[in-house]
Amino acid sequence: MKKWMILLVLYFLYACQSSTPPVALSAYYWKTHYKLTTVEQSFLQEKEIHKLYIRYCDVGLKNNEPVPIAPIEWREITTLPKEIVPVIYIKNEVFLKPHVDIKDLVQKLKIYVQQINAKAGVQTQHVQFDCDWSLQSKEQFFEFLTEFKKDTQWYLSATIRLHQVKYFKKTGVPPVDHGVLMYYNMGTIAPVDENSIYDRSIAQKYVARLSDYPLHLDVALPIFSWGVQIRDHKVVTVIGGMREQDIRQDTVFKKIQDFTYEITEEYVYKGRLLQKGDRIKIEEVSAKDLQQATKDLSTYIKPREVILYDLDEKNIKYYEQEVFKTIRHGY
Amino acid sequence: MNKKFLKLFVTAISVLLSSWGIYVYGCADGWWGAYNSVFSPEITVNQSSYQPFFYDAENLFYSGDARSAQQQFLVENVQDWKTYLGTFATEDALSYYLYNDTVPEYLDNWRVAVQNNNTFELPYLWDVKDQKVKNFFIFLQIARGTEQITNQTYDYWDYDNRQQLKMEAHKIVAVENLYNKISSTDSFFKNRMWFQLMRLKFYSDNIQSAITFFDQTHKTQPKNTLYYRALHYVAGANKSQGNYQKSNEILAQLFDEFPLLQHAAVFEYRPMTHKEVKISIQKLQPAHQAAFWAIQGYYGDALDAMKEIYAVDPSSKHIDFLLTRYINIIESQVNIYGDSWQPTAMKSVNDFRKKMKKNVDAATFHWVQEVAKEGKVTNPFLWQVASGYLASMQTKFSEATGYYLNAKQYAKTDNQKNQLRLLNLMNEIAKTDKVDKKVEARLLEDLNWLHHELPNTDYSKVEDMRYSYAITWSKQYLSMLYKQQKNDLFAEVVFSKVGFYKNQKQSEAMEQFLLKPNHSAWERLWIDLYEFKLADIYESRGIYLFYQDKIDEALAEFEKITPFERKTYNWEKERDETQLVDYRTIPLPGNPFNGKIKDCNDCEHAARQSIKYSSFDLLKKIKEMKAKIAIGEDVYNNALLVGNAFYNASYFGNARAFYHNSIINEYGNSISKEHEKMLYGMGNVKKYYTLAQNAAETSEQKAKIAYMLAKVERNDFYSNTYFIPNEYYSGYGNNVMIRKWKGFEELKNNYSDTKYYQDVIAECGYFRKYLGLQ
Repeated sequence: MKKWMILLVLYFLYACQSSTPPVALSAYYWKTHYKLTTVEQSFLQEKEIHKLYIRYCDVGLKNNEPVPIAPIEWREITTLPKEIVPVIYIKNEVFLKPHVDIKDLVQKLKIYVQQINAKAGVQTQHVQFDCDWSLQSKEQFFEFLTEFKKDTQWYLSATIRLHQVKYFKKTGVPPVDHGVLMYYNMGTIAPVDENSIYDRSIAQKYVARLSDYPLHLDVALPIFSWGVQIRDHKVVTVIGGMREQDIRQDTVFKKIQDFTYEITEEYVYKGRLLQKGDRIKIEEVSAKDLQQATKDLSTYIKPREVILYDLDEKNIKYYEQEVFKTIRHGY
Repeated sequence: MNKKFLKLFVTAISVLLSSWGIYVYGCADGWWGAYNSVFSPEITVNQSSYQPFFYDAENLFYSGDARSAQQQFLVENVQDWKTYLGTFATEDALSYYLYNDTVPEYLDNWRVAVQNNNTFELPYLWDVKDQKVKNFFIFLQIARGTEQITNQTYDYWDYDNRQQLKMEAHKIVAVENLYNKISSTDSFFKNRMWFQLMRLKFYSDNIQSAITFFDQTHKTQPKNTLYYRALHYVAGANKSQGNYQKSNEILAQLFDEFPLLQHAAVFEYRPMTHKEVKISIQKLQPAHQAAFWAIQGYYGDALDAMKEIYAVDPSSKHIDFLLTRYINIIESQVNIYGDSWQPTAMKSVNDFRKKMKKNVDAATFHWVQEVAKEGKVTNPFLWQVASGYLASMQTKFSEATGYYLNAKQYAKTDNQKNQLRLLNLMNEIAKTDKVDKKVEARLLEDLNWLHHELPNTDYSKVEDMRYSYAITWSKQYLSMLYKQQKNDLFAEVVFSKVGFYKNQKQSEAMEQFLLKPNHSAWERLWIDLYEFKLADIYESRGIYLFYQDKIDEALAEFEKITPFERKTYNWEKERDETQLVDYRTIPLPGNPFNGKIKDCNDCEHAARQSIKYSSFDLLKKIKEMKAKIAIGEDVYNNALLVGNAFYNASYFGNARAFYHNSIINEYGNSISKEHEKMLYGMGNVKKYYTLAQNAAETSEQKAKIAYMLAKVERNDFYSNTYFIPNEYYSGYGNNVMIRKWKGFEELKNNYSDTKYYQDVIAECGYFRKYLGLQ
């Protein structure tokens, strides 16, 4: 009852404070096949999410040629929301390769997106590119974006990482219509206590530079989680989707400190063999973190839209639903 | 872009393999991941098919080994058909029929031609009346005629056509009918067609039918390559249906019986817990049980797996690679590299031994020893050597010696002998508490071998040896002993540490030691390895004295430098070359007396120099100029030039090479804390420019000095604001780069009528900015 009261008060507080309309809420869909669970469907409805950013494919090098990797497979298209934005993740290696045939890549990718669209019976006017470009690949990536725009006339957005905001004079500003600030993956995945997904102390080193960024920025916030498997102080692998609540009940996982568990006997978890003595560090982002992040960001930018990364039943269920409201009303 | 997609067995698996393969090949370079190891599985494990499973901390398989048996299968197919067809076929013709991309287009024509005994329709003139030749074309019709499914090609960029095609059931029935009609007397042809049928069933809608067919027929087939390839299909079919236990069983059988597919078997294995394996293997024959444990041990606990293998079959060869993994893993924990790419420092003998011991589990050590003693394993060399190494880590040095003595009789190859010698030497070093003449005599020969012979041996002969860690480790350990014995000088000679030469007494003692005639063989060994020569010491002293403006003393040190021989590796000729090096004659890259408006070191290095100065020449010239200043001769010019020399020999100037010296060790873009004042500092520059300023007579001279002093002020500002506080992004964003330097003001207020003033405007953007001209 007490909790209810607090939430209610919080809600009213936010409701009263917000003189500007709430920002739109949308989500990334990052799986290799498209099919929503009923929980995911009702989440979209309840949260009035009418737009999904769907990962259409990755692009990487095979035999030194750019090719699409793991394209989306449509399994159930009746649940598609009104607006679909294809997202293409391009590995940096593609543009690190010298003399990429940019025009050829533009043509191929355009047709590929159209093919995927046709299969789902959707049309798109907006495409988003996700590429962690570096100083060496910048020129070709930006040229690609310019060519893609020229050829398709589609509205383009691109993901922007924190370091690219702070050092934008060096790293460059992509020639797109707007950017989406990825407010996650801030640290390195390492056998240390820090959370690599979200770390406010790292974020704060960058956040003040947001207002200088010459491109309009929307925001992507993390609601995903993973488990970092550590053996002998070395990272073995990252197990996607793992949450504390999945393993808390299982005696094989013995909690040794906050978010860190030790494996007490050999165990196969989703096809991975965990050895006795291995450690699993759960990295997840709390509702409080999300609220704090929203507050920190709101001082410096006014996004039109906040995109959740990523739409998945487990991620949705992890949060008290009110947090999504505070995110929408936080700017 | 059409790319042929070689489908080994399961599409998904080969996709994974090939993409992963591309990634790892990018960084595969011998055993670069094994820098902290002295125990080579390449030498101690006898069979090379186990190589991908050696320990590698960075990659799934050792050195990113993504080997595939495919090429071998292609070769064997040709050879097998050649044997069957005899003189009818050549290898070229067979390769064409079996692998040429255009063949499927002609298959129908050829079928008719062969039916009609029409040889001339074929690209090779074979006797098509012969039944074996006819059989070959029947085979070809199926093998090559179904490739669009069994060896599917597709365009990566075609989203609509990405699905694996399936073989239609009625076509399989037709092939099966054909197969059933083949007489079992033609066992070769029957076997070939049997494999084709397996293949088609695998790529059908009913993958289970491949399993059933195999179960019903495999007993009638010879256990050849096709048999194991068919068995691999069965493993894939089981795995695709989620029957992991069965697929693991088959993969274990492949691992045991068919080395060519060991790599694939391990990759496709689905790890289980120890308990699950125990239950799974009950009905398997001992050899397959051992293989099952071997794969499990690759993913799970190597020690548990070894114990299980040993219990099932002590002579199993599958146990060996696991023991090397076990040892290499311990090494990766014990032999840790620190920040400066050196093994972590050893504080004392006791500290070192305590740490070593901690990492080896006594019970495990005991078990390995027992196995070695029982003598049931097939590779006694490995087990004796491993026991010795573990004993050494347990600080049971005399026990280790015992094992190494035992191992000697099994060391047959040069590699094995070298491996043994290396481990024995490390044991001999590790057991030493104090270095004396006896110890020197005991270690000298082997240390010479490690430090001189091995690195100079033809690489192909020692490429499997892992000895680089031992090179650093042996120096570190002995240096630590000398330190304990309070012999700082020899501790330095054996393993140099930054800062030794800061202490003048130590520097002099080293000089005396190096100058001493008749060094002992032990001393000679370490002196030859010591990274500094007398020349480095004298030069470093000279450099330090220069920055204190003690030019005479600096010259005196430079006078002592004599030429010495240095070995450098010539990458083009791939060999060491000896050069005579004389520090006193190496020219500086630019004229150190230049005092240009713009600091462009690259331009000055590229400019033609009528006189080239070495560091030694520079000192001599400064000495002359200072003498002139002292007697009041042309003070302005001499002081200006000496000021320029100090400027150029600073961090900001064109003669940074002046302070390049291996003891001072400042080669980088930033300066270490220790030398910041010396190399960023403008004290001497200011001193001589001020002297020049006081002696300046004309406006031009005064203008020039004013500008030079502005550069000095600017450099001080950069050092104090950015370099010394270590602000990485200096000169970037909103950082202040110019201020109203006093020299700028003076130039503007007092000397705007000079030619020099105009030159500065033309060349110096900051000055124009200051004047508001841009």
